[in-house]
Amino acid sequence: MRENKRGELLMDAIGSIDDRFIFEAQVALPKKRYAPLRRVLALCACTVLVMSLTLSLLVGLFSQKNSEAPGQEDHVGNTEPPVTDSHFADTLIGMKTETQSFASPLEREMLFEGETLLIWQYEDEEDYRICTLSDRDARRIKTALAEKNGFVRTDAEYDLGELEGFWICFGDGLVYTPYLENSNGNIGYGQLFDYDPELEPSQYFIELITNAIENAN
Amino acid sequence: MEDYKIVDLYWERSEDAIVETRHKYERMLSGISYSLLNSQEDADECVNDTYLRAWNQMPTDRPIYLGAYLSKIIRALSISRFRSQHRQKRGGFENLCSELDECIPDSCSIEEQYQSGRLTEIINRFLGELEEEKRVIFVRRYFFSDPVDVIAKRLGISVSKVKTSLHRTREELRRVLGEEDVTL
Repeated sequence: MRENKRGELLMDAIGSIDDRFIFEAQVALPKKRYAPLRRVLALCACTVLVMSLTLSLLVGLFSQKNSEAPGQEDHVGNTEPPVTDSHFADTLIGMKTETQSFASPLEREMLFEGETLLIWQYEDEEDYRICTLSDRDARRIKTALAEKNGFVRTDAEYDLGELEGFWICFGDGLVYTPYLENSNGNIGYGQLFDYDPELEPSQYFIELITNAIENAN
Repeated sequence: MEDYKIVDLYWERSEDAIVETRHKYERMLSGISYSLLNSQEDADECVNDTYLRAWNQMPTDRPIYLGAYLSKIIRALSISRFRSQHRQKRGGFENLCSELDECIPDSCSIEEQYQSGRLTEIINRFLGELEEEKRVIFVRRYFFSDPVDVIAKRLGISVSKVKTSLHRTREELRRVLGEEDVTL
């Protein structure tokens, strides 16, 4: 019985252990069990794979969306949109007939009235085409213009053809053109200015403008 | 009801203290006693004795962990009751003592250490250094006298894991007790 006597003493001693240990064991609940390491790693690998595929798909869809349906979302990405297959000037020339309703003489005050205006002129007309944009389109175009994403520098022989010029005014008197960098000397105030094109707007920008004009029509 | 409110009732000498204690802890206390005595009748008597002792010891005592406080009382009462009965009877307590006997090295003067209160000190330090899960398993087994399968179910682990944990903890305790005995 010697052994049991010693065991009993140990049992008695355990009966006096710290209350904290008793409380801890008293309230102990099953812990959240994690999967074995191998399963965790496999799960991580699957997650990474799925996320990569999803990301690739989303990037692909986003690019396609930008090229097929501009104006649906703000252009905020830094990726360079595809460069135009056709010149911006050609696009505007092609819209000559359908934008006839925008033809109007330009008055200086119009540049200060707070509305965003797309203004362009054909060589053979005295009137300007003046298109007032919605706030949404105005915001998109302002962003695109500021970012100059995809705009490419043109060569010296670049010709606007039948187009005299294209300008954008955000209603504060300042006049911009997508054909020039936004810098001192390239921004007018209270009047439209002549220029030689230095940049060719991107396909995205062309589609943005086209869409905005169609919305305003 | 919160523990401190129940303790306040004891201090106010309100009989509601017993009602609330019974409501909150009777099942746990009965389980501890039954595991040691293997008799529901004896366990029920021990539970009632526990309430009486708690009533008598408070207001002197003001336990922070009322559950632990009551558990210690009923554990001591149950072991005492077991000892007062015939020793030949094999009960839960006997089994637990046999298991713990593995922990004690032959050279260890455990009686002296127990008498001096040093043994509890060593066990407290030992428990404090254990991983939480191992400690809970050990305390559930040797303080609350829970059967192995009950511990496994409670902690959501396998029975074999509980057995392995207990075996390793006992081995570790044996090593610690051996070292402590040398230094005394």
